[in-house]
Amino acid sequence: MIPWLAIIQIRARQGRGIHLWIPLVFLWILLLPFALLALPVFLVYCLIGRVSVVRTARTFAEMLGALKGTRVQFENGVRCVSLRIA
Amino acid sequence: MNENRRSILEMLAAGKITADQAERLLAAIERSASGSRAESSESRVKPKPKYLRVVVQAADVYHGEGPTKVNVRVPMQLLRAGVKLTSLIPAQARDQVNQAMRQHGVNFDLGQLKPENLEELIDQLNDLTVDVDNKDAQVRVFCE
Repeated sequence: MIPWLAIIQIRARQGRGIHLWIPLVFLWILLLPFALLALPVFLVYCLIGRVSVVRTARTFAEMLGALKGTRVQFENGVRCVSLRIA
Repeated sequence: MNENRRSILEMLAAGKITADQAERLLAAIERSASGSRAESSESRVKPKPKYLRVVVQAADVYHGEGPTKVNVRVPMQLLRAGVKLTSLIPAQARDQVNQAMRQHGVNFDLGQLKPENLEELIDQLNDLTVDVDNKDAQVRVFCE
């Protein structure tokens, strides 16, 4: 199951923080044309490299699904920015 | 009755050991059995690591905004999927990578990286903690 939500949180020591809930469905829709463009390259790669198309596609899908739970957080004395994929 | 206990009692019956020695041997068996039980229950309770954490604390101050701290949490599932990608590298490219690694002193074959080996590796990661300390930064890599 691919991730559907990215949560971006920006907290400042002074002033208000920002809490954004971004549905990733828009990102996937935006990326779809690029994926279609990359499809022939992907097929040529599988053909030349003698790699199974199904296995490669499944591994990429697994990687996308495994992104769930990833969290990256940067913090300094003034603000804290965090990205969480759910 | 287990095999060790039976053989001790047989030795006692045959007069090969005294009652005192038999008692001490039985006590030793009991101790080792309870120790292994405790060890196995401990290993059963230990959960598999779910995330790889990297925490960096830099002492340097960027534009006077205070020390920087970076905290990254990567799901183990992502590592598993990433390692699976190595099996999708074409054979000729994999050979080149292996050769390049050998030239740099890393005698490792990417083709040997299999999912079952990976599971074993991830299980062992549970006990791994890497701490790097110097005056500028502190890096900590661990699993949780």
